[in-house]
Amino acid sequence: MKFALSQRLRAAGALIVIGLVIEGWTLHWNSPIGFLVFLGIGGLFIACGIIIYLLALIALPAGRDPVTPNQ
Amino acid sequence: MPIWLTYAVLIITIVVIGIVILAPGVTISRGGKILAFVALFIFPLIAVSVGYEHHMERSKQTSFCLSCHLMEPYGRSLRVDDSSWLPAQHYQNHRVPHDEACYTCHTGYVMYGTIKSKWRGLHHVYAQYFENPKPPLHLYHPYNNRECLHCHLGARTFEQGTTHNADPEIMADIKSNKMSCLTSGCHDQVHNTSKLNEVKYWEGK
Repeated sequence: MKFALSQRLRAAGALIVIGLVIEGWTLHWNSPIGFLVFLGIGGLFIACGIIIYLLALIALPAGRDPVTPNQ
Repeated sequence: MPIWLTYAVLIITIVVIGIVILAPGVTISRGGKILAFVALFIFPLIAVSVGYEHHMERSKQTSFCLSCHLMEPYGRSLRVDDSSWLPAQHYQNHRVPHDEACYTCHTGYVMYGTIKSKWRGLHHVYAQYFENPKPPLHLYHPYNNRECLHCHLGARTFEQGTTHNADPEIMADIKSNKMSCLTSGCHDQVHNTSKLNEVKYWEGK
């Protein structure tokens, strides 16, 4: 199943935002578990979002309209 | 870095990502592509970096170390009302910062010492849940005089101390770590968690 760049950008952005919210939540969590949640869950969401974004960039054929879905 | 700045980075990142999510059409233009790259790659990396830095700094705090139940007796040993107890004497006389008492003595004052300390800290978390450790805990390696000398080297009480200079070899052996400060019978009253019920406690701050 193919997705347009706009859908991939939205998915990537949503994952990164979730990761950032988790990061913000752990900033006041004064225990080792807070660090693990920050790195293991927040970091994982952010990493997945960035990877999806980078994959979307390299998967886009040259000359194609980047925001029109499923051409 | 102050926490408000960390939050500011997070909020700015989320706002910029929001623009890309809500209006992906902006990425058609060259400027929009740059915006998307900044929003979805550069800013998140910066946000993670500042968050990581914040967590690293906070992990130096005494309250962070003592947040594990297992460390509770070690925290109590800082308040023993007996000057022969080394950690208590350092803590109560501000020879180590109150808010970084554990870290100050238990980090390694060598290149990458902080990183190695953090790595050991991660192993502590693993051990807490999967190895069921029980006090008394043991150091991974014998305590190195280098950590004591980081502060005491050059200090008058250390350099001119009567016992330290009783024999010319003693000072050389201390500085070369051949004679341990802690286990050679001189400063051997350390955390000693097995005797915490037999001592008085200092009630100061």
